This record gives sequence, structure tokens and C-alpha cells, in this order.
Amino acid sequence: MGLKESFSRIIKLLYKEFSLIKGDKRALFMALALPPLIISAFGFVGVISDIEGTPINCAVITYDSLGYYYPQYNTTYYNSTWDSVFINMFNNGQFPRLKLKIFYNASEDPYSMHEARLDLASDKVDLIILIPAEFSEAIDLGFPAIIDNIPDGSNIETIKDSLNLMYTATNIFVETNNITPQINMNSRPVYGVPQNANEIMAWASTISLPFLIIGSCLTLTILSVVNEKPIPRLLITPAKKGEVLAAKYIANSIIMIAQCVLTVTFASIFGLYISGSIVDLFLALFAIGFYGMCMGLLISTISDTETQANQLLVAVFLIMILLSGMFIDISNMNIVLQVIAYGLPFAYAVPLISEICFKAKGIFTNPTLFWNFMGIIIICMVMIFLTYLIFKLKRKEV
Amino acid sequence: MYSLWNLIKKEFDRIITDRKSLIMLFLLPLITIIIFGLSSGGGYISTFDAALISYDSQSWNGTSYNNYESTMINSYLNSSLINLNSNLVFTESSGFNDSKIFNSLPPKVKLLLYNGDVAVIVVIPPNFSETVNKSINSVLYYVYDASDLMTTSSIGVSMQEPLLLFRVAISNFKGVVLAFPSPEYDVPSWYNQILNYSAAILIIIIILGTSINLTALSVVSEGPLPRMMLTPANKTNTVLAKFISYSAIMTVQALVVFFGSMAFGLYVLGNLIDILIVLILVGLSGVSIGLLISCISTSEQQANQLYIGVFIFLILFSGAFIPLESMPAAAQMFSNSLSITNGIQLFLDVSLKGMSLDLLRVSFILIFILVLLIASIVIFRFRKMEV
Repeated sequence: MGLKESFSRIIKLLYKEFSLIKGDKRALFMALALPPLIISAFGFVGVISDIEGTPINCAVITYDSLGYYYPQYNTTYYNSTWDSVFINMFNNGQFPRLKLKIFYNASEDPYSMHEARLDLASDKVDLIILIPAEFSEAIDLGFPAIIDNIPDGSNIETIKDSLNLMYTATNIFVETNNITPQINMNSRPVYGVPQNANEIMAWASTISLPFLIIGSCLTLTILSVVNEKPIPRLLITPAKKGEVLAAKYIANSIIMIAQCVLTVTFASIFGLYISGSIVDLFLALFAIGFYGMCMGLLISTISDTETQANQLLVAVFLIMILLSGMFIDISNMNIVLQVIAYGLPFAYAVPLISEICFKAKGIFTNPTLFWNFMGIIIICMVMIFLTYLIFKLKRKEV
Repeated sequence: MYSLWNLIKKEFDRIITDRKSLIMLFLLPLITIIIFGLSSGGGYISTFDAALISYDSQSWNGTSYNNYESTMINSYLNSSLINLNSNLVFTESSGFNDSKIFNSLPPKVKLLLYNGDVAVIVVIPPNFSETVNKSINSVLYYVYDASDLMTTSSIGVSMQEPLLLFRVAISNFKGVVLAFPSPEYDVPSWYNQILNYSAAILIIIIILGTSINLTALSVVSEGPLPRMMLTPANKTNTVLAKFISYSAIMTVQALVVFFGSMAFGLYVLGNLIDILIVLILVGLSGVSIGLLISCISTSEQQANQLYIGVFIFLILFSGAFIPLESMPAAAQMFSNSLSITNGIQLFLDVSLKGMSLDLLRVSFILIFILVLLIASIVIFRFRKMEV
């Protein structure tokens, strides 16, 4: 009997919650429209951008034509056959993405290096490639031939790109000119993003989808308790505190599910890559969204004023960004912060989305994924319990 | 002017009244900067976990010669970039298929990659020792987990180190051409490199996040504002007063972030004052974004939704996910007009390159602030208010 009455009260409270949500139509529209709009804009820019084709502008300096003194034989070599081969290949565009912008011959211009460094400082070039004096001699005599590359270290991406591109370039140089014997590495990527998919969207989806869902769920619920003036009066009626909260969880969950569906639909239009089950992806996103909702309701219950709730929202959101692993890998963090990071959703959400989208793993078929999913659910349960406890103990003035 | 001064005083009175919130305003950047400072305390983890499977003893051209197999395996075991455990070294004498390498691997080895226990599987083919012995070209294979962007972007270079160790072991450098990196304007090795490379984007995000929040509710949540409009107080002055007073609070927040990041060993090659100017400029742009959000919104929930939406949008288009150079011209222009993009670039130029402030980028930020401020005033002027 009690259960039936309670259920009936929750239904009525649900009706009240929806009336409240419907009351601010613009807010409801924003809640549903903003995440798909943002992911669409990001996906669109991803489609029209050309990451693979962006050139790295280079300045090449050769010292190879300078004499190289070989002390063991007391001889000076003036061999510069291989640097011209390398520079010709460079000039003919045989090295992917590396674009020869400026060429210096150190035997003609003693200030070549100084000038190239000025080019690097003024962003005329992103990389200086320096062919040393003994380059041709080293290749002919069977020594390791070293090409120095000096990337603009102020941009970590340039360092990484230039290293990879120079590695490819040296391989092409050695292979094309049949400098033997070579020991080559033949790579075979698996579980990657297929050529026809939107690579930017695919890589970023593992972090951008959870961010959008959590962000919008947090804002959906952050003011729902602290802002609702009639709650104290509501509690004079037979409605129980647990029922008031349950109605809030259910009503906001329905909005959250709609947000997830819309976001994934729009992301798919712009090439979201999902090799696994779409049902698993939705389940994962619902759990992530539910985390955002639980966090929002907890903050709303803790806060005495709307300003406090908003400040806590910013604090929580900024901490989530800092400890998400997006900029600094969680494994590189201080041990205390690693513990905090594992209390936040991204430590579970990113591998969850990544494994479903790239490796086609299932939440209920893969134990690791299952425990990542459960990790989020357990944290949600703890937050619901805390919210209920605080809501129950909180003083309400009618 | 007198009215503006009075309005500024009123704003400060409002801010000071809620002591709890006032403390939180300064505590928030402090907490975030402490977390930022400690977030890279674990040191570098830059190795790739690997498994190795050798088919070198499999018969090739009638021989099962495998004298170089153990040297190659040892090169991987001794590598500083590839982390190979001796219990993850497998030897097989049959089953190699170079057209379907991954599919032909034994299930237990494939499972290591699928479960994420290793990032890469190195495969030594049946003809490896034979080709090394005859001094002809040899090929090694590696299958890597391409679902991890970090692995995809750096595994190729890391795989070169064991090859060099092998060359050293067999004393044969013929055909070796190496590209040796010596970055310029990088973070010195005695500084915390992880922290400093992410400092530009993270500090700018902290400043933007806290400053947008300062003003995102300043108009929409002020109950007595419509009634105040019945007094001689002017709407333009009301918005300007909010901008000035919250900018003062933001400047203190920027100082907290500035000194906090210094305490955690921020590497700045250029002028420290320039860094502070960048932080304040970005903070001012955050204050103006918040004001605009507050003027557009008709309820606090809307303001919050717009705040988070705009904040995520700014992060996604900051250049951290899509490099600006790879975008088409129109998208580049749009990204370059955002204060976050200019702020990050200015921060990098001053902190790592030691350059002075790029006046063009500073002007872009100032124009951005001015445009948003004018938009806020215009929207506020036409806003319907019910007393």
C-alpha cells in the first residue's frame, strides 16, 4: 500500500519536475541543442581540415662540402655527393610534408646557422635540418650518417611531427638510393581509424563526447535543488525527501538520454567512427551523463546559494579538465592526484568510449570494460547516497 | 562619470556582502593552480610495453639459421624506449604469414594487444638472421595498437632505438642514416617538462574558466536590476560598472594564478610582466564573454548552459585538438579571432621563445573584448525588464 502511494507521489512529482523544466523553454532548448551544435561544428571543421597534408616548413643547411678531417689517416675529405642527393630529393618533394623553404650552403655562407636560427625564431620555418660535414663520408665508409634536426621546441606537436617526418624521410632516402644493408621496420597498425572516417572526430570523440555530456548534465541539474523555492513547502505535504529527489533524478535522466541520442546522432553525421555496438556506446554515454547529473544534484544540495552552486560547478569542471588526462596523462600525475582522478569520470569514460569505438569491445563481454562501466555506476551510487543524506539533514525554512 | 563610480561602488558592495562567495572567488584559482602544479609530479612515463615473437627458427630457403635472433631480442630487452619483459618473448618455428601478420599470430599473443597489456608486438620473420648474415636488406615487423593516439604518433621513432642497439652489437653501421633531434626553444630538462609544455593551454583555460564564471550570472541573477533602471542610473554605465569591478577581481585572480604557477616552477624565458599581461588580457576577455552570456540569458540555468557550452567550444577550437595550420582559411581566421588561441600563442612566445608581446595578437584580444562589451551593452539596452 505504502509503495503504491509512494509511486503515485513520485509520478506527481515527476509531473511537477517536467512542468518546471518546460517552464523555461529556452533553457530546455539550449540543453538539447547546444551539445549537438558544438559537436557538429567540431566535426565539420574536422572534415574540412587537412591534418595529414599540413606542411612543415624547413630550412636546410649543408656543411657536407666543407672539408672533413679524418685524424686516423691524417686526411681531409671533401666529399659532398650524398648531401646533394638528399637536397634534390627534398626539392622534388619526395619527403612527405617536409617543404624546403630556405637552403643554406655553409661553405659559401659562414653565418648560415645564425640566419637559420633567426628564421626559426621568426616562424619562417618550423624546422632546421643540418647536414654535417662528414655526412657523405660516413655513408661511403659505413659509419652511421647523422642528420641533425632542430625543430621549434616551443610547440610540442612540431617536435613530434618533425621527428616522425624526418624518420620517414631518412628511410625514403636510404631505400631510394639503395644504401645497404638496411634493417627496416614494417608497421602494421590494428584497431585504428579507417582512412574514410573523420580522423579528428574519431580521436577527439573519446574525450569530447564525455565532456559535452557531463558538462550539459551538470548545468541541467546544478540549480535544480538550490533554486527551487517551493521545496521546503513541498515537504509539508506527504511528499517525502527521497521521493522529491527520485523525481528529480528520473526527470533529468530523461532529458539526459535525449541529449545523448541527439549528440551521438549529430556526431555520426560528421563521421563519428564506431566499430563496436552502438547500444554499448549509448549505455556508456548514459552512465557518463548520469555521473554528471549525480554530481550536479550533489552540488545543488550542498550549496546554500546559487552563487555557491555556480562556483562549485566551475571548480568541479576545471578540476575535471585538469585531471581528465587530456593534457597530462593520468599515469604521469602525482599519486594523490591519481587517486582523485580515479574518483572523476574521465579515468573510466575515456577508455570506455575508446575501447567500444576502436576495439569493438562490449561492456558485458569484456571484464575490463565492465569494471570501467561499474566504476562510474558505483561512484554515482555513492553520490546519490550522499545527496540523499545531505538533503535529509539540511535545514529548510518555509 | 559620478554615476559610473557609484555603480562600481555598488558592485563591490554586492561582491563583499557574500563573504563565503568572495573567499571562494580567490580560493578557486588557487585550488586549480595547486592541482595543475601537482598534476605532473609522477615524472615521465614514455616507454611502450611490448611483446616479441620470433619466427627466426622457422625454415626459410631450406635453412633455419637463427644466430642473430638472441642479439635482436637482447636489443629490445635493453631498450630504454621499448619495455619488453622476458616472459613476453615467444618463439615459434611455424605459422609466419607476412601478408596477414596480425591474424597469423598465436591467439595468446594477439590477446595481449587486444586487452591493452602491450602497445606493440614485434615480429621477427623467418629470414631475419639469414639476411643479416648475407648483408642484404632485412625487415622486422611490428603490429601496434592504433586506437591509442600517443602510440600511433610516436611508436615509429621509438622502434628505431633497439635497431641501433642491434647495429652496435653486430658492429655494422652500413646503411644507417639517422635524424638526431636537438629542439630549440624547448623547456630545459631540469625544469618539469610535462608541466611546462601543458602550462600555456592549462593556465589559459584556468583563467578563462574562472573569469567567465565571474560575470556569467552578474546580470541575470541580479534581482533589483530592473528597479534600478527606474532611477537615473544609465544602462551603459551599469554594464561598464560590472565590467570594471569584475575586472578588478579578475586581476587579483590572475595574480593568484601567476604567483601560484611561479611557485610550481613555471619556466619563463621572456619577461615575467609580459606573462602577467597575457593572463590579464585573457581574463578580461573571459569577463566580457561572461557579461555577454549574462545579458543574453533570461534565467540562471540558461546562463550556466551557455557558460559550459562556450567553455567547451573554446577548448575544442583552441588548436589543442585541430592544429590551426590544418584548418581552411576561414576556420583559421575564426580560430585566430578567439582570445584563447591568441592567449595560448602569446604565452608560448613569451615563456618558451623569450619574445616580447606580439602587438597584433594583443590587438586581436583587445578588439575581441571591445566587440563583446559593445554587444553586451546593446543587448542590455534592448532587454525587456519586468519590475
